[in-house]
Amino acid sequence: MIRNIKAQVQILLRQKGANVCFLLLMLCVILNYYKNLKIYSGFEKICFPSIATLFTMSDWLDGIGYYIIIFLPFLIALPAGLSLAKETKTNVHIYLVTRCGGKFSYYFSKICAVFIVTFLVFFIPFMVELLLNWYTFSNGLSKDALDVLWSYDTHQEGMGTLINTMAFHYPVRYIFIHILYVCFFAGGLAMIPLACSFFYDKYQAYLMMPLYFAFAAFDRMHIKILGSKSTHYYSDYFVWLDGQATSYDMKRMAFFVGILSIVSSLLILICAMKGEKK
Amino acid sequence: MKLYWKYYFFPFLYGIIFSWYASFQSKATHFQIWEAVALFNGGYLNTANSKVVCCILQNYVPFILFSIVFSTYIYRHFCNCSVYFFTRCENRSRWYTKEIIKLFGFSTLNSIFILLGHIATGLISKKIVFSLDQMWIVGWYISLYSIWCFSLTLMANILAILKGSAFGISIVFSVQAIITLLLLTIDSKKELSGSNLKRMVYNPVSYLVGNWYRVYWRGKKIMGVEPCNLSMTTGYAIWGSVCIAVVLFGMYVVHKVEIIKSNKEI
Repeated sequence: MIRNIKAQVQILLRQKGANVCFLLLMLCVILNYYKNLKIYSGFEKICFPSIATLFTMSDWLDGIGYYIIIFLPFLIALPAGLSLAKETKTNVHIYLVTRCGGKFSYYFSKICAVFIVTFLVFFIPFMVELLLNWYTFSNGLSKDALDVLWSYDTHQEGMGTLINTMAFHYPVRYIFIHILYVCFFAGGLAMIPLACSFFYDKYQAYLMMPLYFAFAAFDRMHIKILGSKSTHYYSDYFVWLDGQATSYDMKRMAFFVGILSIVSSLLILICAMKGEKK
Repeated sequence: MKLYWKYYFFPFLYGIIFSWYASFQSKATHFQIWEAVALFNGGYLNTANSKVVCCILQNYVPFILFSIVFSTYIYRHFCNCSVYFFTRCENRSRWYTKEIIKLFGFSTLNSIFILLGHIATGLISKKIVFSLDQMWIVGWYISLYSIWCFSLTLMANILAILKGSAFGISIVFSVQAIITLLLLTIDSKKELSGSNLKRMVYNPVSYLVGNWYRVYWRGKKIMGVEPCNLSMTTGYAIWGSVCIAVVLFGMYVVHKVEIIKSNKEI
């Protein structure tokens, strides 16, 4: 099984969609880093802001993160979510099923590979940015000095909402968890176009639509999800510092996305084992 | 027509989702249908910043999907048994005119279905108000968006005849996206005048944003935010001329290309 997953990951990583998405994210990250360098070029080391505020996905209002958030449904579906439709359309899946040793192992390895590839496509650019920011903007102050610096930071107002102690004291660890959260989200949601490609594979652009409409519908939605009724903006769950979502909201959302991806994966496996393709 | 009918479900759904907030969540007691149309394409701010440009790009989605589906509408005749088709076609100009009229009809339907989505949510929430005297703004939206969408789709078809379908659709949308991103050159922090205003006035994409127009009705300003004062006539003139140029270019290409000998879709 591991060999199958490895082979599928290798196939997917070589495809155009994954490469284009990776390059786009890398471009966004580098542009954001360049923008930060330009802003803080003449500053003293002590005046550097915390790297938690310099991260692409923390920059929401007039930054490059805005573009990533708006086009997130497409960026999630593009790397690997459309691969099953592509393989079914060209009938490559028949060959791959025989190579993998059965339908179950093919579809299971496909699900794992899609998750891994989408995760990696998001994880590597953001990690590169974290390392660059850590190297460039780390001010190396003592904890007390950092506390004083943070008390003057403008982002503090929005900080009361989410894992604030961690962002306050350990920005690198905080950003790392933020990156992992975004990547798990992306990987989990990539299952939706994959599940949809079981029922439709003519125009691949249409497979991105369920995710797009789900994101659009969830924006500004005043609904009750597992307990609390409030206005939800999907950007809040990806932009932690400027967003309004609390850590309780985050946990609920992670649970919701987890269930959604598990249901999608089970749907793929059930449809595959039944042999009811379309 | 039967073949394409199911693809109108997406623009309709798009209309429903994007009017959901105004219909069910906002505190407004009522809205008129032309207000929904005026705000179409993200023009709720008086200048072009990254938020507005993102909204404009986001609102391209149903039109892009339409163009993907219909980017083979004329091109398909050159692919499938084109020898048999064109040996029986006596007058190519007449055939081409017939086809583009049908395509224009399809693109008009696409805009209408988005509007129907808006109307559906408005009717269910009982917030929509119809006043016939300002319905011409709805007419403006349908006609201009149909011309724009038709021009893009026809261009994708023509480029597909020349170089293949993937090339056609990717070139058309790359160019469209680049022109839209040029709106970012407008400095939102400065006053919108002089060269800053020219960047908006000379960009054809600006004319797709409803709220950047200057519209008066019986001496009262009903649409448009200061200082963006785009004229509707210029909008029609720009997109109309683009449309005519594309149609003429298409006519030339259809006459010039005999049949496609090698398979470009591999």
